[in-house]
Formats: sequence, C-alpha cells, structure tokens
Amino acid sequence: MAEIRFKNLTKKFGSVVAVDNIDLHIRDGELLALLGPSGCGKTTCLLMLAGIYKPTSGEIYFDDVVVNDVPPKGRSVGLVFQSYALYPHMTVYENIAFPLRIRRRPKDEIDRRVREVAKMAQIDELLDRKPSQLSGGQQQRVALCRALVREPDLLLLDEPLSNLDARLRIETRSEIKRLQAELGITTVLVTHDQIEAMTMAERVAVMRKGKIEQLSTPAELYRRPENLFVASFIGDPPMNLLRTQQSVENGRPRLNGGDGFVFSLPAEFEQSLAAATGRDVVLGIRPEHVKIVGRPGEHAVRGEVFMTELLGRDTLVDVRSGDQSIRALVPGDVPLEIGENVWLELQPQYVHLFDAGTEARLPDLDLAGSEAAAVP
Amino acid sequence: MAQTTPAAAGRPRQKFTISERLVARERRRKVLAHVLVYAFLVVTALPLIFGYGWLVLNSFSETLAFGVLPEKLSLKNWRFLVEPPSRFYPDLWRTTWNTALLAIGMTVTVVAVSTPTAYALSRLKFAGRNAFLALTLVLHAFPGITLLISTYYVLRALNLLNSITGVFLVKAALMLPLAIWVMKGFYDNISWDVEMSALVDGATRFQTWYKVMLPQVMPGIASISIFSFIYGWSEYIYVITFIQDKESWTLASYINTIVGDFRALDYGLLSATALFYIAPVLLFFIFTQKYLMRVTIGGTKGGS
Ligand SMILES: Nc1ncnc2c1ncn2[C@@H]1O[C@H](COP(=O)(O)OP(=O)(O)O)[C@@H](O)[C@H]1O
Ligand SMILES: [Mg+2]
Repeated sequence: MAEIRFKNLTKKFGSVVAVDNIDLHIRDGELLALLGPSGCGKTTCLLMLAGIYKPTSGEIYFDDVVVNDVPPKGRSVGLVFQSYALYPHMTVYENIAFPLRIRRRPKDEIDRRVREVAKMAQIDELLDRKPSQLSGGQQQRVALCRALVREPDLLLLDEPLSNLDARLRIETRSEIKRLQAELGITTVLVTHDQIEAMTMAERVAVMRKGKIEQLSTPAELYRRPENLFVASFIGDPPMNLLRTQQSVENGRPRLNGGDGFVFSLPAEFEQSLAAATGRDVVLGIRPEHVKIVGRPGEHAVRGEVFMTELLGRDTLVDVRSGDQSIRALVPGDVPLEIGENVWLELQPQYVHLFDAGTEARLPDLDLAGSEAAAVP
Repeated sequence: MAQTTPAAAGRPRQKFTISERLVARERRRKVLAHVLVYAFLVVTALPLIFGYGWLVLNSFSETLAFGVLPEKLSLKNWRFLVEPPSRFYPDLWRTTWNTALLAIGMTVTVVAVSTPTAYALSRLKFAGRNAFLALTLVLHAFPGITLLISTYYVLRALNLLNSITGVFLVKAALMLPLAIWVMKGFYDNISWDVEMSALVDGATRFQTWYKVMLPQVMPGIASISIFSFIYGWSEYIYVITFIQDKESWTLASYINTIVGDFRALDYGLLSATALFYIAPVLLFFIFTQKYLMRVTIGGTKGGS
C-alpha cells in the first residue's frame, strides 16, 4: 500500500504543457478519479505514476520516497489501459502470469496466484484462450487480473470502461469498486466520464489543460463547484449558467440578464456579491433545481417554452427568458406547449454565483447549507 | 456450373416472380464472371506451364527431334548427380552446399540486421532517424546492378572475392532496405500500450522486445527469411562476377558453365540441372507461401 504525492509536477512534450504544476495527495487505500475532457493530461499523469514518462519538473512521492527516476519495474504498480493491451501471442494464463514470471517467482506460487485472481474476476474458465477469442468485457477482466496478480501498491486504470457497452459498463463499475475496496489498493482511475468518476471514486480531481480545477468528494463537486469550468463540466444535463449584471434595488441585490430577465436575491447575498463588485456575475442553477410554476413568486422569472425533450423518466424543458435560455428538468411527461408562458422558480439555496471575470465561485452564505446538501 | 438456373431448366414459358428472376440473373452473372476469370488465368499461365513441362520432359529424354520435341525416355541427363559431366566441373554436392550456404548466410544476415534496426526505427527517437528512413527507401530504389563494379573493388580490397561470404554480404546489403521496411511495418502495428504494459509489468526494455514484441513480428521475420533464402539461392549475376574459383561455385555458376560450354549446348543436361536447381525453391515456396501472404495483410490481430 502506498500514499502518493505530486509536488509541483509538470510534464512538457516539446512546447505542449500536458501537466502543469500540479499538487496532489492521494491517500493510502483511496480510489481517486482524474476526471476531465480529452487532452487535459490525465493519461500523462498516470504514465508518470507508472514510470513510463519522466516528469519535466516537480516530484512524485510514493510514501516518502521520490520516485521520479525509478523505472517502471522498480515500482509496484499495476496498470490497465483503455485498450487493455493484452499480449496477443500469449494465453490468458500467460498474460496474467507475465508480471510474476518476469520476476522469476516460483512456479507453484505463480500458478496459485494466477488461479486465485482469475477466480476472483470469474475468468478461471478462460485461462487457456487467446485474447482474440475473448469478448471486450472478458479482455478487460484479464487486463485487471494481470494488473492485480502481483498485489501492487498502486493500481492505475486508464479509461477502463470506455470500450464496454453501456450495460456491461454499469456492472463492471461496481465490480471494480468492490474489488478495490476488498483489496484496499490505492487506485487512480482516469476517465472523461463524470458518471464513472462520481460513482466509483471517493474523491475526484477535475482537470483542465493540465491543471487540477477542483479536488473533492463527488457530492461536494456537485453541490459546490469551485469555478465555472467545474460547474459546467459536472452534472448532466449541465448547469444553467446565466451571465448577468449586478445591481441593488430597495436594498436587495438584483441580477439583470438582459431584455427583461431580472432575478432578485435575498438581502444576505449582498456579502457574497461584494466579492465581485463592478464585475459581471454568472448565476448558476442546475436544471433539476428549476421548478416550473403556474404563477409569479418571489424567486420566479417569467419565460416562454422554447422546446421540450422527453428523456424517459424526466422532461427537459428549454425556456427563453429575456436574453437567457434556462433548462428545467421536471419529472414525468409534462404537457407544455411550445410558446406557452411559464414561471420558473429559482430557489436561492440552489443558486451558485460565480465571478464572470475570474470564473471563481463567490463566497457562499451559510443558508446554502443544509437543504442543498441533499444530492438527489 | 452444372446446376442450371431455373430459367434454363426447361420451363421457358413459366412466368417468374421478380425475385426469382433477379436470383437467376445474379447466378448467371456469377457463373459468367467465374468462367472469364478462369479463362484469363489459364491463358496467362499457359506459357509457364508449357515452359516447365518442356523442361521436365526434356530432362528425361534422350534427344530432341528438331531441337524441340523430346524423344525417348532416359535418365541419361541426370547422370550429373553421380558423376560430373566432365573433368572441368567441380563436385555437384559441394556446389549445392555452397548455394545453400549463400542462401542461409544471406537470410541470417538480413534477419539479424533488420530485426533490431526496424525496432529502433519504429520505436526510438534519435537524431537522423528520418534521414535514415528516407535513405533506405532511396537505396531500395537503386538498381543493384549499377553497383557491380564498385562492389567488386570493395570485395577485392576486403579479400572477399571468390568467397560465398562476399556474395551473401553484398546480397544481404541490397536486400536490407526492403527487409527493414517490412519489419518496421510489423513493429509499427504493435500498439504502444502493449509495450508500456510489459514495462509496467516489470520487464526491462530488452525483455519487452524479446518476450512481447518479437513474437508478434514473427510473421514478418518469416517473410523476410523466405524472400532472402529464395533470392540467395537463385542469385546469378553476383556469383558469376565475383566467384571464379571452382571451390566456391554455386549452382548458378554450374549452369552458367553448361550454357557457355564451347561444344554444342546440351539441352538435356541443361534441363536436368535447371530442374535440380529450382526444385528446392519450389518446395520451399509451397511450404511457406502462407507466411508470405501475410506480408501484404501485415501484423497480427490481437489485444488492441
Ligand atoms: N507522447 C506524447 N508526445 C507528445 N505529446 C503528448 C504525448 N502524450 C500526450 N501528449 C499531449 O499532452 C496532452 C495531454 O495528453 P493526455 O495526457 O493523453 O490527455 P488525456 O489522457 O487527458 O486525454 C495532449 O495535448 C497530448 O497531445
Ligand atoms: Mg487519455
């Protein structure tokens, strides 16, 4: 087992900065996800952990040891690639046994451990097959077994589920999570799929352009995104982000979104907004927190239905209000006409405020606490 | 072909449904296409079949009527297997052994050089890599025959004239650009992930190459080995030019001498020795052609 630390970690490929001055602490036994759009440097981080890439600057610690110059074979790491990267000329057994054979472990120990781990992943029937004779899901298990057979200190998973079909992905998700919890191996999961990261990981590091934008628990990411990027990246359908100008009217802060879109906030928000005095503010609210109501209310804005989309259990309603477009996710099949006038209720405790200039979250009020904490 | 279509099967006045008619037409079209393809292949193959047939018949006949038609079966022409046609010729088996040596030497050299070179070109970054790649292409396009005289001088300087080693080194050098390109293609087909997996699994770079990469490029090695062997075995011009010493003759020199004999050309003997010369290559080719086919398809299917 190991705890991992990145200190000012940077990796450049020529002029491309793939990983940009990252600090990160991965706890012993934790499952941490690196989440971000493609090209943001996730795989590069993973390959530096594996020892394939050498950091350009900064340090990687395994416990208290700097491992920058330790070659892969000197680290106790298991790695599963998106492509599984099985050895096509070897049988499943030989694939799983490879990390042990290369270390010249005794034959009976190899045999015992290969069969043990294969049984755990329920592929003990397939040991004599070649990778080309396996389905994607089976190949994925073989790759996982090969990574686990040597009981590594650190398990690295690079988009391990992205080549599986939707159904198998859900199954495998919980299976990997169970396996990881059982073995207690420190694990880094790389993914661009927020659902994968949110459901599997204890903590998620959201990355963009080589930097970590936010590191927190899945619930916290959802509840309290620290900047506009995280706010827009986490959540499906994505959060409504409305650019507005702030003003004060009758002692109450108001957000003006243009062409008649006006939203009044309770007086307490003034402190919050003070952090962005003179600058535009982005008002964020998740579609599932927007309510469609029949009549005006204190926190309601008026709009016109632009489009509705039945998503199965819920309906996504796109409403135009002034210059703004707001999506509301409402349960069931809602009988709304296009062009119909509605009122949207934006409850203040679900409102996220961001500085449009710095893109940072404005300081929270205490009132945002209890209710919003409940993640659906 | 024997199965006639419903349309031709004697119910001409029957009214077909559209789909039956389409099926029938499709089947006729297919049959016609097959006939055409076979006809074309047979016609183009005829000269070859005729040539080889003549060679075989000729080698087993006493004389040639009008210089072309084989007459009277006999094994006379095959006597060279047990005794040289004249004192002028060296021992046949020694000559055969030399030919094999040339083919094997060339094969081993080509494989030994191109396998690691192609790996480096496929996987390592180093100064001059692109220039090297471009150069191998140019060299491959270069007709080897134009180098005949200069290589003669080089071999003389190295004291390799009149030796099989000299010839197979030259042949291997000429073969290498192609072999390197073929092998590089096979290496390129192996995904980086597989290689990195092996490193993470604890292998050294060399072990990764030896245990993971090499088995996957085996079809490539098989192909270039087969090509090298056949080219080496059938080499003519370099052997004739660089080797005079009868001790180092190959079958090419042997046949060349029969052709160039000052007395009347013995077609029977020529046919027999020619058959003797090509038989191993033909056998070899029959057994190895399935590997050769893979060159065009390239690589192995698997993991990635
Ligand atoms: N071996 C490499 N050589 C050059 N550039 C690379 C290499 N690996 C990654 N990059 C670049 O680094 C950036 C991050 O890549 P990567 O870590 O693979 O992203 P992700 O896994 O998040 O999709 C990309 O811009 C990519 O083009
Ligand atoms: Mg990646």
